[in-house]
Formats: sequence, structure tokens, C-alpha cells
Amino acid sequence: MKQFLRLYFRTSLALRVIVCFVAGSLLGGLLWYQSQKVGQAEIVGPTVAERIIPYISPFGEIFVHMLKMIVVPIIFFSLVSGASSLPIRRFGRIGLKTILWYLFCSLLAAVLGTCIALAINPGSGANLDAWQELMGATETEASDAAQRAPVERPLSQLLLNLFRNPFEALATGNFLPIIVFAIMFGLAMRISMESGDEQRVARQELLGNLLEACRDAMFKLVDWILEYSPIGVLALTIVNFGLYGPSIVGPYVSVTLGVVLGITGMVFGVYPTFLWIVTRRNPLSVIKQIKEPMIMAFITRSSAATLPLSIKTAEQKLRIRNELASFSLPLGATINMDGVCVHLPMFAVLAANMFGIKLTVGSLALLVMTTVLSSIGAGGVPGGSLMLLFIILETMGLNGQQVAVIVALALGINPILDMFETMNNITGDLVCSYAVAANENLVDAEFQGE
Amino acid sequence: MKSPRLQLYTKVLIGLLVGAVFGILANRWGFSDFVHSYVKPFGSAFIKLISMVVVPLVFASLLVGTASLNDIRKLGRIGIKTLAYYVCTTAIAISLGLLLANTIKPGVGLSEQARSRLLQSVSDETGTQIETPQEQPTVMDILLNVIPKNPIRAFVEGNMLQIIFFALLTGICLTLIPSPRSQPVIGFFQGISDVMVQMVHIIMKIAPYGVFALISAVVANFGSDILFVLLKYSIVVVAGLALHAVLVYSAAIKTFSKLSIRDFFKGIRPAQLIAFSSGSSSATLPVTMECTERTLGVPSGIVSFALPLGATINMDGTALYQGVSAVFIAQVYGIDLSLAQQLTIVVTATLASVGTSGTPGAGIITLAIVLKSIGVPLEGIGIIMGVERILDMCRSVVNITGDASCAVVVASTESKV
Repeated sequence: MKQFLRLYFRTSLALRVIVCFVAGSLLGGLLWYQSQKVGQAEIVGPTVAERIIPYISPFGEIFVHMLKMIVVPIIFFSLVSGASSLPIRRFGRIGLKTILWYLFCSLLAAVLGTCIALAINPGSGANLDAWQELMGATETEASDAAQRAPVERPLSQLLLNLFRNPFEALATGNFLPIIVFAIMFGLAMRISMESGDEQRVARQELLGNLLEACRDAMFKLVDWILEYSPIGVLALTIVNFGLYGPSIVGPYVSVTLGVVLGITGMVFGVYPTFLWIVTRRNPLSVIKQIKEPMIMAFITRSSAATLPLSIKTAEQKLRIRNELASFSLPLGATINMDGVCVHLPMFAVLAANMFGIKLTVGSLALLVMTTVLSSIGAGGVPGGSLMLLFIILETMGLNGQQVAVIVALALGINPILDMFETMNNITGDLVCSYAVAANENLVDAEFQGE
Repeated sequence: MKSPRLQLYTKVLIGLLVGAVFGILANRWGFSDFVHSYVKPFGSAFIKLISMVVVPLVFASLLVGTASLNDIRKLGRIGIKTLAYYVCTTAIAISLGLLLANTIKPGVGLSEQARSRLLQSVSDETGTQIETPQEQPTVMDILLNVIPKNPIRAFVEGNMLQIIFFALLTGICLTLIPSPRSQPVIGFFQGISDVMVQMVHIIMKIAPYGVFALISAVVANFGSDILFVLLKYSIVVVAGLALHAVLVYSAAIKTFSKLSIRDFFKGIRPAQLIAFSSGSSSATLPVTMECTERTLGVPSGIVSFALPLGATINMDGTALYQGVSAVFIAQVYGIDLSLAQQLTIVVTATLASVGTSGTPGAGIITLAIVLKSIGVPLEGIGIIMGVERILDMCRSVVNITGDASCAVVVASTESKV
């Protein structure tokens, strides 16, 4: 037993999650198969699945609830800390430009992700009927969610919902206003910090330290919660497979395909075009130069771990001056999450299809906006994209059970998607930095092919 | 150093004028629908943006203000002065309103026909608004409701009176505990309030555009024929407000402080412009605080004590408006108000405006309470609804001017300007 535990804790979390995911899908599949057989043999009485699932699903729901508990404070604290560390005055125009281009790339990524998601339409095959039969009660809930989902919001509503009493927004978990307030709060903190008035600066530092300490505490809490994730994944996948059987495989495949497709599109389509428009230099040679950090990111699945290599690449191969690279790349690792922006709309559309929520132009715009803004705060958050998924789903008006289904889906394939995402993030950081450098004459000398 | 304040003020003024012209054109050429659905939202967003800051700002600054007064007796003295000033000016405002309405009698000439037309034009929207104040809050209710059951919930609901109460108590308690332990807490909230003020700074950069959007929407939607029928009434209200602002506040400032009247009015002009275009004194609060502190030089302790309080409980303009409107409606219905009834108006309007503060459309609700207390038909409110918005804008200006003048007067008597 002791040995087993030691082995368990020595294995990486990602591997544990994958193993649990596979085990859960197999067990769930078995349950489903058994219940189908019972159905054929016309045996009256509850199937094994019906008897077991009520005892399993709480373990999954605990996980979802724990994540929900943490998502509001974490997004607030990490956004405030993030925004307050943006060097506005120190880097002046160049800093601002870098930030804007990061945001612009995230926007492109979110739009591309949404388009691909709409084209592939993940989950449209997962028929709602079977799902309703199996969990009779959810029928009304799904339609509730459909009703609660924004019905073609006019401009005014969209605008007005951005600004609210921050306490109200925090209490009701209304994410867009939280995000807006947190970003503005952080920026105002930054400006006060740079005001030069000694007393004020000292107070701001006190405030900043306090908020950062809160953020770190929340990060630690997420780490703990993620330790539970293998069990949560096991339970959630058993329930998902046990209820829907093999038909659930469809969404997995289509979401994975969509994300991979979108990220490939970003790396080989959008970034080169962007580079060409902005710098008028051969974009493919730039991409070629940065392949090492890209591969590294793909393998390590960590922007932070890749950061030294990407800074080195930026300075030595792309010949970006150190003063820009040493600030833009760490900044990018925190606020620029293009891969996540591609990936989130996939799950949003999947959720909409599964639960019959109608996506209007307004709600899609809202989706893109939420994705981009919330991605600013995801940097460095353990399990970051998972937190963002919560925000997106809550903004769409899904209820707890529905969120659990989608999160179960996301968790299982997250480790795989993560590789692509991290690669995309790193590429985005380097491409934007290079574009800024070329635009501001911060490139030392023209690099020569290879 | 160049003077960004003056620049900003000029810009806001330009925004206001251009907005008014744009609104008139929209009204003439019939694209007011466009203005309503595509321009107005930006104005409302601007207001919501400032309002977003209000709850944290009020709490943090009031707490710091209270804690920095440092000694309970001084706090008590300033508190009593502030309250006394607010109560006196409010009472004067109502009396002035009653006096004007009784002498000019704006409602006597109004024909039966005009009345029914006015009532018809707005009956739907007021119908629901008037029905809300079914029971009149008693004095006891008002007092009890000031104490929050759960302070965090007061923040969430944005209940200003409760937030103020809790902030005052917390501030007082902070002065009573040993300073090594209270200093970090005060510093923290001071930091928060710095951040909020900084946010207002950022937001004010878009003030000219926000004001443009707000004013053009108001002007575009405004039917001039209604204004014509209610011309006499509107003039009485506006004249009363102007008189009150010029006479009472000037007198107060002249008597108690060394500040010249011109400097005072010049200093709070940006806040007045925002109040005029937003029609909300609590949304203007951050701007008022900034003007009073930076331009008029009132120490921040008094500013952060008197103004949040004033924005919530001191509504001179609204009170004056209540007085005029109550008498006007009574005159339209041919009801003679006795002296006792008029006194009832004074008392009820003062209390009701304290108790219902913070609720949207507070002016109408308090007016309903006042009308009920003197037995005038409530649907009479419908008559004046047509010009409600524009008068609301004017009386907000007086409201915030009153708050600012109070801060100046209190600071002067403490010899601190």
C-alpha cells in the first residue's frame, strides 16, 4: 500500500490524470454495455449503471465544486497582480504596443477558434434525446439554461454589463465585470505606483504585496485541488461513458481535431500573415528560427520552463535587443495565451450544442470578448485553461451539472491539448516580440536564413 | 505644469454643447431613434463606469477619513457640524420651494384638457413607478435600516447608508486600537482609496464623450411641447434651484470661510457638469471629491467624511423640487394646502429623502410618499413626468454643490482650508 502511494505520488499529475481518464472510460464503457444488454433482454429493474452512478458522480461533482469555489478569487487576484505589473511608464510606447499586439493576437486566436468551432460543430452528433432519457431531470435544466443564455443582446446591454458594483459582481460570479474591474484596478495601482509620491508608492506596495500574497495562496490552493483531479476525472469519466456510451467519443475527437487544426492555422497561417503585413520580411524564416523553443514548449507543456530558451532564441537568432526581449517575453508568458483562446471557443460551442443553447451573433461576440479578456489573467495559474473554461461556461449560463459534463470532457484531453496550446503561446510571444522589434528598430542586424 | 483640470473642464463643456446641438438636430431630422439605441448606451456606460468606483471609494475613503480624524471628540464635532449644515440647508431648500410655489402659483392656470393630455402621455411608465411605495417607511424603519445585518451584503447591494454606517464604526474603532496594529489597516484602505481616485482620473479622460452621449440622448428624446405646457412649473423649479445655489451657498461660504465665491463655483464646475449630464449625485461623487480636495483645498479627512455622507443624505435640490412639485400638483387638482400640510411636506420630504437614498428613481418615490402624506392623488406625478428628466439633471447640480459647500464650510470652521 505504502509502495503504491509512493508510486502514485511520484508519477506526474498529467500521467495520473491520463491513466484515470482511460480507466474511467473503460469502466464507464463496461457499465454502458451492461445496461444496453439489460435493455435488450427486457429485464425489469434498475441496471448496474443506474445503481452505481449515483454513488460515483458525487466524487466528480466535488471536484467541480472545488474548482468553482476557487475561480472567482483566483481570477480577481491574478488579474490585479498581472495588470499592476504591466510596466506602463517605464517602457512607454513600446510597452503599450507590445501589450496591444498581444491582445490583438489573442483576439485573432479567439476569432479563429470560434470560426473553426462553428465549422466543425463539435457535439452536434451527440444527440440530446439519449441524454434526456438517461437523466430525465436535466431536460428542464437544459431549457432553463437556454432561456437564461443571452438572447441577442443589444449593444447597450452588452456595454452596460461590463461595469458593475464590483462587490455585486464578485458575489454573483459575474465574470466580465470582475475582469474589467480587476484590470482597471491593477492599472490604476500601477499608475499610482509610478507617481513618484513616496508615501503613495509605499502604500501601493503594501497593497500590491497583500494582493500578491492572496494570489499565491490561491495558487497553492489550486495545486491542492488539482491533486484531487485524478479521482475527479475517474468519477466524471465513468459517469459520462456510463451514461452516453461510445457516442461521447465523438465530441472528444472533434474537439481535439478542432484545437489542433486551429493551432496549426495560427502558427502556419495567422502569424506568418501578421508578420508579413507588419514587418514585410519573410515570415517563414522567422518561424524556422524559433522552432527550438516551439518544440521545447510542446514537450514540456510549460511556458515558464521554456522561457529561458525563448529569450535566448529571441536574442541570438532573431537578434531582438535584450531590453525588449527581457521584458516582452516574460510579459507574454503571463498575459498572452493565444493557444487557450483557440481552445476555449471549442468547448463553448460543444456545450452549446450538447445543451441546446442557441448561439447568436451577440453571444458569440460576448464569448470572444470573455475569452480574450480572461486569458490575460490565466498566466501562471495552475490548470489555467480549466479556470477559464469555468468562466466561459458560467458566462453562457450553464448550471452545475452541465458544467461538470463539459469539464469532465476537457480534463481528459487537456494534457494532450496543453502541448499544442503551450507551443502556440510561445510562438505568439516570439512573433509579437519580433514584430514590435522590427517595427521599432530594435533588431540588431538582419539574420541570415540559417 | 499645465492645468489639465481646466482643459478637462473645457472639453466636457464642449462635449455638452455639441451633444445638445446634435440632440436638437436628431430631434428635427428624425434620427432620435438612432441616438437612443446607438449613442445613449455609451453615455450610460460612462455613468456606470464611474458608479463602479463608488462603493469601494465611499467605504475606503470614509474609513480613512474617520480614522485620520484621530480623536473621537473632534470626529463628533465635525460630524455634528456636517449633519447640522445638511439639515439646515435642506430645510431652507424646501421652504424656498414652498414659498416660490405658493407665490407664483404655477399650477393654477393649467386647464383640465392639458392635464389629461399630460397624464395620458406618460401613464404607462409612471404607473409602475408610483405603485412601488405602498407603505410609507416610518422613522423607526429608516433608522433601523441604517444598521447592516451583514456588511458584505451591504457592499453587494450597494446600500450606501449601511456602508457609511459600517465605515464610520470601523474607522472609529481603528482609532481606538494601538497604532502599530491599526496603521497597516489604515494604510491598506488608504491605498485602495488612492487606487479608486486614480481610476476616476482615467475614467474622466472619456468624460467629454460620455457627456456628449448623455446630453444628446436627453435632448433628442425631449418633446418641446411638453416643456411648453409645463413651462411655468419648470421655471419655478429651475429658478428656485438657482436662487438656492446662489443665495444660500454663497452666504454660507461668505460667512464661514475666506474662500471667494467665484473660486468656489469655479472649482466645482467639472463636478457640476458631470452631475448635470448624469442626473445622479452618487455617480458624481468621485468627481466631487476630487474637485473639493484638489481645487478647493479642503483636507482629505473632511472631504472623505462629509461628501460620501452628503451624496447619500443631503439632497437640497431634490428637496426643493419636492416642495414645488407637491404644491404644483395640489394646485392642478385645486386642493388648498393648509400651513400644517405644508409643514408636513417639509418634515416628510426631509426624512423620506434620507430613507430612500440609493434606490434608483428615488426622486419619484419620495415625491409619492410626500403626496400621500398630504392626501394629494398620487397619479398627479404623471403630470410632471414629462420634464422629470431635465429637472433631475438640474437638481443634481444643486445637490452636489450643497455637499461641496458643506465640506468647505466645515473645513473653514476647523480652520483647515
